[in-house]
Amino acid sequence: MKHRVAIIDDDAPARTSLAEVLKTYGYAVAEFASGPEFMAIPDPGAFQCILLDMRMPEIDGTEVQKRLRAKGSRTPIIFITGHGDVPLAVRAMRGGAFDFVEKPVHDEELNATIEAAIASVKREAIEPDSESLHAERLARLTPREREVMDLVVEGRSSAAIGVILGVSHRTVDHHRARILEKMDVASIAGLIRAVLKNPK
Amino acid sequence: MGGLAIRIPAIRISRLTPVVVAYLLAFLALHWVSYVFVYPDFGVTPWDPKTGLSFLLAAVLGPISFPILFATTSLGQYFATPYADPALILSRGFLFAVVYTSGGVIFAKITAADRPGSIAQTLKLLATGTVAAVLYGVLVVATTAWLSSMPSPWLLSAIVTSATGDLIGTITILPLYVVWRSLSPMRLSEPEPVLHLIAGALIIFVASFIVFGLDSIDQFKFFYLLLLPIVAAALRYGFPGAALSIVATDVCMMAIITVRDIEPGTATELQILMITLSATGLLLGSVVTEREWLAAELVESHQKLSEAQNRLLHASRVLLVNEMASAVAHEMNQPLSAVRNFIRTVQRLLPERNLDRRKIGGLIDAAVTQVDAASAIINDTRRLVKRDASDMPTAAIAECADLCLRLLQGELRKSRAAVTIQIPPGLRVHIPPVKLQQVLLNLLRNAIEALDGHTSATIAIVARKVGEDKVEIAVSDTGPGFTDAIRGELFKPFATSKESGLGLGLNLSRSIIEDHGGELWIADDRPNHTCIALTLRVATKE
Repeated sequence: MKHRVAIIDDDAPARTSLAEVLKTYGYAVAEFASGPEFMAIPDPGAFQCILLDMRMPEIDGTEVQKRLRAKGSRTPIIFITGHGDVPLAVRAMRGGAFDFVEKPVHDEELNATIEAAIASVKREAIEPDSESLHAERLARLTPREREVMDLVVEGRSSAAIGVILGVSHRTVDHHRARILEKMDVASIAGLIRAVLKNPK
Repeated sequence: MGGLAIRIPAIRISRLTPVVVAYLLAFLALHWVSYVFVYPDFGVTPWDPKTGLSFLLAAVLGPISFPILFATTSLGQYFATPYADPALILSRGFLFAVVYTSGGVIFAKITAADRPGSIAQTLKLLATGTVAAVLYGVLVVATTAWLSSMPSPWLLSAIVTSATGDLIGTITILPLYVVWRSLSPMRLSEPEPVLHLIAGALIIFVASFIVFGLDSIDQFKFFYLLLLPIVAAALRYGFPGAALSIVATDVCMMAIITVRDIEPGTATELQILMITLSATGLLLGSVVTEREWLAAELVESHQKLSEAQNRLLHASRVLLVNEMASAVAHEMNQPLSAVRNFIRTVQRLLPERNLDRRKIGGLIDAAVTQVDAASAIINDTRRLVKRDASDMPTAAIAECADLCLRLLQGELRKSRAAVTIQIPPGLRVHIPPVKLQQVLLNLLRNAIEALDGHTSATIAIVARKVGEDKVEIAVSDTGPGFTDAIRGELFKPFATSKESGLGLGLNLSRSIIEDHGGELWIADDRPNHTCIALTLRVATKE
């Protein structure tokens, strides 16, 4: 069975091209020019994954996400953001988004994220996240790394964290790499997800 | 007075010697001219420039001048009245040295912080000079009366004569020193000041001759004729002009009345008038000098201001370039993303056995369209920043507005504002296009940011001809208007209600427009209708 993916984006070339490339990965893709257009269809719950553009006129991505959640939708949402919109993306992650990808989107990376999103729904149904495993990973971090991680999860850039902690952004980058390694996650998005799922 | 502590400072002899030698030479020279109209018995004169010289020495050297003043004054007295009682001569020397050493030291101390030639310094000069002259007059006449029997009716007139002579000496000599030391507006290498100097001396001599040299003229009635050259010199050259003309006037007066053998009482009365004349002249000179300083400071601060303004202009241009770069990058991202996706699709479809050639063709077409869109963005941007465009003297308003809206597309989308444009086609104004774009960008961005988050927001750009030769451009929005806090500060640099903005916007926009002969003002400031309007001269051709 083909997985069904919805793309919600007001920019037609961006939306159509993304749909075309995702079809080659074997997804059944449906395009929507706005949030309301998507929510007007009879069965929005039939999709396994939603790709949502962050910046849209009228109703933007985070607002669409809010309305979907309010309706009880549990479909994983992957945000598509412009370059440098990490704070917005972090807000979206806090709102329960699965992940975010930055433009220009790389189809291989996006495909992997979609697969992970669909798998997470299945895994969550079978085995809930192991809290003890997360705690074990957290314990590997040095106090400084914990500090850096908290700031990263708040959505701050390396440069900003460097200013706050009084170190160079290279040092912060180094810390970030160590944190990802120790927390056993592939990306900052994964880190944010792990932290948000396991409140202290 | 006698309690004055005399410390001899460690002044090197080499520095001291020329000063003392100069003082002694000047003293001898002045001694020769000052003992006209002497009350021989009292050794007082209505004309005593030596006093000013001694006052000056004390102001320059400090307490060490005491023995010098004592010695020179005593010797001077001896040569003037060799028959007098030595006790009288020595007591005069002593009193003179005490009073004028103290006076000079005090004057130097209280004027240390004053700018030479300032009103404050002139007032202190008049005050210390008067106190010292009166004090010495009283002391010397009292001592003389005590040591030698002097008829009492003469006492008061002797005091007045002594004080007058001393004071006129102080207020003519000391200002000369101030001029010599600290002011150099008399640039003698230039022809004009030299001409003025010669003409001034001639005029002063003629005026003095009219007042004092003619039998048919009453000196007292015409005395203030002498004020005119002094006022003229003070107005033209400030304190130095006043100081020089006062000396010249006093010298002329004394020379003429000496030649005409006018009686001592009249000379004293004329000197009292001369003191008021000098005080007036010096103060006027100080006022003029201070005004010149202020004018110079004003010019300097104006220069600094315009330098700061230029730096601000440059900063805003850099800001504009940065903004354009990021706007272009943002806009380019969309088509580039799409191109990548289309080509990646083709790449992934190619290995398929039954290739759908029409589908591949469609994908390639779509990619080409997006590449064209990307190059259109680059062309538009190039048009905006093109160098020759910035050299053009006139701007087409509609074209500038279009380009600005293009640059702000991303922000407009975000704020969901609708834009209406009402610009007569072909309407041009006298301003380089880049400048008008800079101003419109500022105004539009302010409007967009004011609207942030408001529903059914609109921005209007309206241009229309006003009268024969003016165009009014108005940018209005339906935002909440200015807050009270920001309203008073709107046109100051760095005033901003936004955390992100530099606040250069309105202030800078106004100076750009004013630089091109226009005006920029807040035309309306109400909730739901904020309007900034500007005028520029209409241009008939490119």
